Amino acid sequence: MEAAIKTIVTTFINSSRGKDNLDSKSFQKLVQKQFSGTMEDTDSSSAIKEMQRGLDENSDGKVSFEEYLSLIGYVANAMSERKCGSNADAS
Amino acid sequence: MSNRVQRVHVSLTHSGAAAGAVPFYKTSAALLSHFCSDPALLHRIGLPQPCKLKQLPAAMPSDLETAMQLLITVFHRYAAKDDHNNTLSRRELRLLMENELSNFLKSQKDPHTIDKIMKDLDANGDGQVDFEEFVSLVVGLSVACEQCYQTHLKKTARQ
Repeated sequence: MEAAIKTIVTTFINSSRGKDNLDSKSFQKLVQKQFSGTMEDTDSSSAIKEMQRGLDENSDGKVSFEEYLSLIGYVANAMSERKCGSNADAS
Repeated sequence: MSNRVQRVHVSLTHSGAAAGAVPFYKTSAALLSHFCSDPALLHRIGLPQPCKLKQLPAAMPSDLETAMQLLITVFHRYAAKDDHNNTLSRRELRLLMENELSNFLKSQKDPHTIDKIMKDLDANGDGQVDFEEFVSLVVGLSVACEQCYQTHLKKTARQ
């Protein structure tokens, strides 16, 4: 599990190249590279822009580490709920 | 809710002093309170509810997807140890932290760390930690890691 946390942190750091925030270009790259297997519409840049606007709490046009984590948390929760749901169906 | 999370300060470094005390759940409560319970936000992020996850898991998951899968698997592995299969009891949380976060726990000198974390994570006070509450632990640890990294960067830049 420590490895998973490390992955979450290093993925952000690699995409931001050491900066504090992701600009929209790097955010788009990150989503396409990392979430294409999980989320729909990752190939549409307008959908990603829409998502970025939703995440952008302080409206600075960038995605901070905290804003990035809220996306991870959201997706992980959705994945978990789906998993629980399918378990309940199976039993 | 935000008061609840700002009480705990832990440091990830073994020396304890190097990076200073990091506000542990500084952001997690604020994050959780909206990304989990506010349906309007799901629309704002462009993910209608129920969100547009793909029906089938990817054949070649990315690093990040693998990491998220792992978090879910770990959570459910420990959650299944008693009757409440979708939540962690205090005992299960202790087991999870001892086995999965041993390096983190080693840096904690306070023997009550786990009790404090349990109290802080259990947002609805039912004595059980559900997955949403568990995610705030992951968020807190990730923020702490990132801050350690930034401190490290600044230190190396100064040298």
